[in-house]
Amino acid sequence: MKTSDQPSFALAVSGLTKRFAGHTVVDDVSFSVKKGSTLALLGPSGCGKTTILRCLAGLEAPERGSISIAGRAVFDAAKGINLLPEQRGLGVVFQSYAVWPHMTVAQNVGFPLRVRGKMDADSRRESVQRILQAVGLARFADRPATQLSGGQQQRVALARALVHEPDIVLFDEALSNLDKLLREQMRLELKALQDRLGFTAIYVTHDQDEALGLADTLVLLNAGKINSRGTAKDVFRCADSAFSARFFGWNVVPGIVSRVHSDSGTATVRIADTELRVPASTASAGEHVEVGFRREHAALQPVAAERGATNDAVIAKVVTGSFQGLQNEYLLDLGQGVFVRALHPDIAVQRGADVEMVVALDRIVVWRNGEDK
Amino acid sequence: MNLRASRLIRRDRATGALEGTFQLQSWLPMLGVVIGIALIAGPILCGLIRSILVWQDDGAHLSVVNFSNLLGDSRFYMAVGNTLLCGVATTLLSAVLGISLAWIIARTDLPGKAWFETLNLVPFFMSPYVGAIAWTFLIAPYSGLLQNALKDTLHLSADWLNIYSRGGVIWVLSLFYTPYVYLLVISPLRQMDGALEDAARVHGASFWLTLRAITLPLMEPAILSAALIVFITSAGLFDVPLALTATKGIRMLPTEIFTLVNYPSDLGRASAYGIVIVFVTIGMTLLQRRHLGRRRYTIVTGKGYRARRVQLSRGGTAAAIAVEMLYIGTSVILPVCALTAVAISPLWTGRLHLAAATLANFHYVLFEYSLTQNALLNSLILAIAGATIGVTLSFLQAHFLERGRSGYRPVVDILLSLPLGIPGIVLSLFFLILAIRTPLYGTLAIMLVAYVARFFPFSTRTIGAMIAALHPELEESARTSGASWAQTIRYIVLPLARPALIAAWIMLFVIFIRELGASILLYSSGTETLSVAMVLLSENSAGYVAALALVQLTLLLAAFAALRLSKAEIV
Repeated sequence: MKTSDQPSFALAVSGLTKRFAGHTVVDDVSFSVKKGSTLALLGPSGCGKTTILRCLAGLEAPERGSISIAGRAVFDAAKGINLLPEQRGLGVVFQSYAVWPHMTVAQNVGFPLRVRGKMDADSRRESVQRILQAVGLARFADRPATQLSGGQQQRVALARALVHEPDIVLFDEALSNLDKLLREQMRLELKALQDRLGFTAIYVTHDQDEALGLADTLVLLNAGKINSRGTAKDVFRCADSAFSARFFGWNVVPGIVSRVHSDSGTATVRIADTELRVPASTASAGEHVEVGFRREHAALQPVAAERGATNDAVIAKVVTGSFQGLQNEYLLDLGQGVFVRALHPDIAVQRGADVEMVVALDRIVVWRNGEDK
Repeated sequence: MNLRASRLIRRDRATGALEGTFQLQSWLPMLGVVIGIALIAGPILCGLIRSILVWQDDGAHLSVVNFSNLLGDSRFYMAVGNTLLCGVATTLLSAVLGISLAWIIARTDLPGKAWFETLNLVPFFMSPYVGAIAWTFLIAPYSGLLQNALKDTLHLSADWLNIYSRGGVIWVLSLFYTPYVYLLVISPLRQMDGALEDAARVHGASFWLTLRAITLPLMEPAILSAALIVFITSAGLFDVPLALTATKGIRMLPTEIFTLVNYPSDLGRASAYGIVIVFVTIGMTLLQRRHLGRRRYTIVTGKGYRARRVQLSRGGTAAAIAVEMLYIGTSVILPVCALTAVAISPLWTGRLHLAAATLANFHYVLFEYSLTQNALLNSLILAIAGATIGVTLSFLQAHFLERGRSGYRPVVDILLSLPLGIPGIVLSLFFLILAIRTPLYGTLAIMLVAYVARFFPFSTRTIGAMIAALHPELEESARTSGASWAQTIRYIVLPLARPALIAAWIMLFVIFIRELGASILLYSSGTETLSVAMVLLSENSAGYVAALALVQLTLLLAAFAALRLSKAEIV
């Protein structure tokens, strides 16, 4: 089968659209993944990321678009191609692990080899043993799968997805059922395994730490559409929309431009009861905007009596502060039901007291309303 | 890689998704559904058509005369009245018994509970026809074992007690339908959050007030659902009225249909009878579904609460044991004793003479009498083949309902549950009309079809509940591991659903071994079943009937034991 996809792509998705009961859950999504690299499909629940993964695996049939794996079309709505899941040669790690309770660990892991029927029993056992070694479960081969802990079941699912040496492995929220310590350990092990075995990995996750820690490329989804994409660093660093900023935990608050200072390329924005100077080259007075900054970039200081809220400081009321280790997280009230959060070392203020909040001009991003709606 | 096959795709109308045309996964479960719907719609349509046809000299005509004759006949209303009376009374009595037993087992610390738990289910596996026959040995004017015992020991006359009455029908039906209520009520009782009752107690309610104001209202959906099922199925049951009231001039709906087919045969009016009953029961089945759909079991919180156990006082324990003994005694022990007494007596006179005890009756029905030997063989063939076909069909249907993508699933679900309410005698009447002028008439095959058609919804429910409990990713991970649909079914779904498949098979086996209503109109010489043979022998030889009943009971209890040993659950 000839295709126009470049063979260097392990996976190419183009124009993928999927509806459920008239509701479009995946809307014209295109992306590609280079061989041996890692892509994370990231987004809040309901953004369509799991549906995309299920389309890749052949568990859902999209309405439009095409999917090709290693240059081979596995789905193409226009040409009427739709390979069955078992014909796509993938490995999938499911959110529930889907470890079969009526089989031993070795039977679970050996299943992909058994149903393919291309291997005799001895070499099958050898392959299973090798992959169990790699995930650290060699001792458990003959245990009933139900006697394993959650973390061990996760490894069984992983071994099962890798045993037939697929080119692409799909992970559906694979780490989200593990507790925090185990999750971080597993993330590092996955990286190491991938370096060793060289498969292409696609992660679906709602957890930004997981996505940032695992993926070379991030695709952030919002309501079935790609919101932004790029390297993990890029997507994380430059929030190119209020949606992605919110998703990565920024403070995003609505405001109205009150004055434009064209000489300095800035504007003053009224946010609730306060005003904030923001970078703005094209804003006009009266315009509705959204203003965003990271919690880490909000510096707090006690209110200096003689200065008042001059300059760039914003007066805010401390609602509550919670201990977070090296820093405290403060919830600040800007009035009119607008709250922001700040991560700052302890500044010893009481609840209900006013503080000055300063955000450096170059740490503030302004989006004009409607830009990402 | 079979690219060619998977390229042949079309757009599924219901989902708009691309689906392969020649894929086992789409047409095999669909086949199960289509066969199921044909098994229901075929006979009902046949009955409907037959009911609006009348034959005159110049051929058949469309007419509503069958219906107008039926509805203008006072005997019809007598039968309706008697059936309603017995159905309602049976529902009330078995609800009281079933809820009491379920509460004792689920919520008290009664000693020996595990035994009672098993014993409470035994009547579920026994034959109502045999139960009714056994009670005619126990209570009958001038010949009942119990009456004679009272006369001989206490010199009391109890000849006013007569099992051949509406009261007798209600009594025997209640004993057999109590386990239905018990089974449907006990699991919500077990899962009820004990904190709900504790909250009532700490806020000042007494034990009885809590039971009345909290426990029972919370159980209302389960109780109402059980009551409707008991009403519909007990009112349509042919066995008990046949044994107790048919020959005494007390008209009941199921036996009236039997009479209309036989003496003299009026299939037109019988069909009209059947069609009226079918529409009423379908209406009630739909009502029950709607009621259940609106009120979900909100008491199952799933938060890991365990229902509290009540510590019984000494008097409470005695009362609970008395209720248990009363139920098990009257539903199992007394009937089995009576059957045994009759079976070992050379000639039944209403009193047991141990000196004359003999196994001759058993020897005769098992080794000498070709009718009973044949009947035993036929019942075994029907039960084994029927259960296997039924479970296969149900598995496919359950897979379609739980895993399919079709938008028609809710409609299919309702269609496939319709036979649950249709009386066996009505369905077999329609199959009789369907087969009467074909080579199928009088064969085991048509009985097999009628059995499966009447009872597959039971196994579809059991298996469906099991498949619904399996996480879909267990199957999806097999597919993405490279297994075809057939391999996934074989290696993953069938092994995981095995307990439900076993339970469903055994349930169907039990039902088919004892089934009478679906057999009585379809048998002919050579295709008699165990229950039919008992009916045929009941007029002249009580000893043979009792011996045959005990043989049948042995088969049924063996099936019950197998179910217990397999640890499979009845849903």
